[in-house]
Amino acid sequence: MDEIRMPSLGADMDAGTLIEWKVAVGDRVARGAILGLIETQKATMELESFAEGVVDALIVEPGSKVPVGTVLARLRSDHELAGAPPRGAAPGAGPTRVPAAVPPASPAAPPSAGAVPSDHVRSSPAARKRARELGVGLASLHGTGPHGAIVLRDVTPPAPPAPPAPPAPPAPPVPSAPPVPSAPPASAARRPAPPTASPVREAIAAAMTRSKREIPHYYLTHTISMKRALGWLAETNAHRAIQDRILPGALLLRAVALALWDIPELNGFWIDGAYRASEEVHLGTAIALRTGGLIAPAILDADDKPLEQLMQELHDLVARARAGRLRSSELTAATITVTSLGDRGCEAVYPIINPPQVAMVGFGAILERPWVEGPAVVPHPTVVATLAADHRVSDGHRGGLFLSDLDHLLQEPEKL
Amino acid sequence: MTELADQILATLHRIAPDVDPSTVEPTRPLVDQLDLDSIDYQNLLAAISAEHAVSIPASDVAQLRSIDDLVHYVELHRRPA
Repeated sequence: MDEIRMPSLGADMDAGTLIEWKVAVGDRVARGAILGLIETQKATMELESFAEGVVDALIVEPGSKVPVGTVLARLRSDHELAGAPPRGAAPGAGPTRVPAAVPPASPAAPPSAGAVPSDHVRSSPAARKRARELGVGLASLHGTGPHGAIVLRDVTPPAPPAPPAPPAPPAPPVPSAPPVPSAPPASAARRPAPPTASPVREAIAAAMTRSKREIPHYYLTHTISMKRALGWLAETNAHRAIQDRILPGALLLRAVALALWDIPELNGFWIDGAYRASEEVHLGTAIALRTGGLIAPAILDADDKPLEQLMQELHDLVARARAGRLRSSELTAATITVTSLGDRGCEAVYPIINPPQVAMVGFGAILERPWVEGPAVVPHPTVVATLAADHRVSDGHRGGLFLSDLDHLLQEPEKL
Repeated sequence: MTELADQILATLHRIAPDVDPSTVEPTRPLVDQLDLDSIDYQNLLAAISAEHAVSIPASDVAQLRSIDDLVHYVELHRRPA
């Protein structure tokens, strides 16, 4: 029997309210299905199922406020429906699906802070993880990803007979302290004016105070020419219907996701005095809420998604953030956050890291600036990229390599 | 407001539920008066394009700033039903 519990969506969250159930007893639900809506201090969000099965019991009544960890519902798995005993579990010791308090450490040794991947072939973290599981050297593989990088699909077992299929990748890590405050409940969006110290503002205050108190930030900036990137976007967008056009923001997100492959000490969590690099790249995307505050839901596995898909997911994420319909996993999964204040003309942004993450990337507006090109100074569209990073985990040199890599990737936009 | 303007405002409200359509000034740029970001605006134009059978080339986007701009554009370019 799988238990669905009130998730913890922040270190400061001790209780949540079940707003409504979206399923009934007897319904079959898939992993990731929306079971109901929950409201916390910071947001109304969709409660996802972390298991698959048939709803056996809805324990908590809508409208009830219950402590984090309270069992809200029970699911019966197909295994149990067939009458078989639970797999090797003592009664009552079945797996619960409360989001993990800390992100799961990778099964193999995660890259340590400052480590450079031993195979110096551009490769995605997921591909490296799979290669380790299969005992395959990256150098022996042919990369079909961006810039010839090795991606998950390129990593195949070394020789027949093929070993059993590796286990499916684990669910996205769910850190206990979601960094960025969430949207106010949808009902709040209709109120005429927020109170002076709204729950959202209090949550931002708590998270940012913690960040500035605990994280020794360092900052680096790098001005990047966007001439090639914007030229390529204009060309590709000319042939696309409006809903399929790619905005510069998606290109920047994609480049950040790929640049993280070689600098793992920027992508992960600082938990209990130690750094845990993440094998996945889940990009938190800061969205300013017109009702006040901001929210940073994650685009999951952003490094594994083509640009077009990233753009569509960005559209979807913003629309659902506005409607107060984000999913709990999206609010807790981010392994790094990206913020852009370009729409309002800010030249650069110096972000505050969202703990337990260890880095944040900021982009200012894309502006025409004088650019030295050979012997001439010519106007170029440029963007100032800023990295805020945790000095406990990385140093300026590595941060500088990240920004330089980001620049390099944006000079070949057609490969992104 | 015309019926078309009301329809476009309804679309805007769907894209940005936190915006009160009754407060929108038809001649002022939407991005400025409502604090829409670039994703919101593309979502809005994509929805208008689909709902009113209007193709909006990338080169025309910059001229579409206010409700009045959108109404005129749709009236001029929509394909007959």
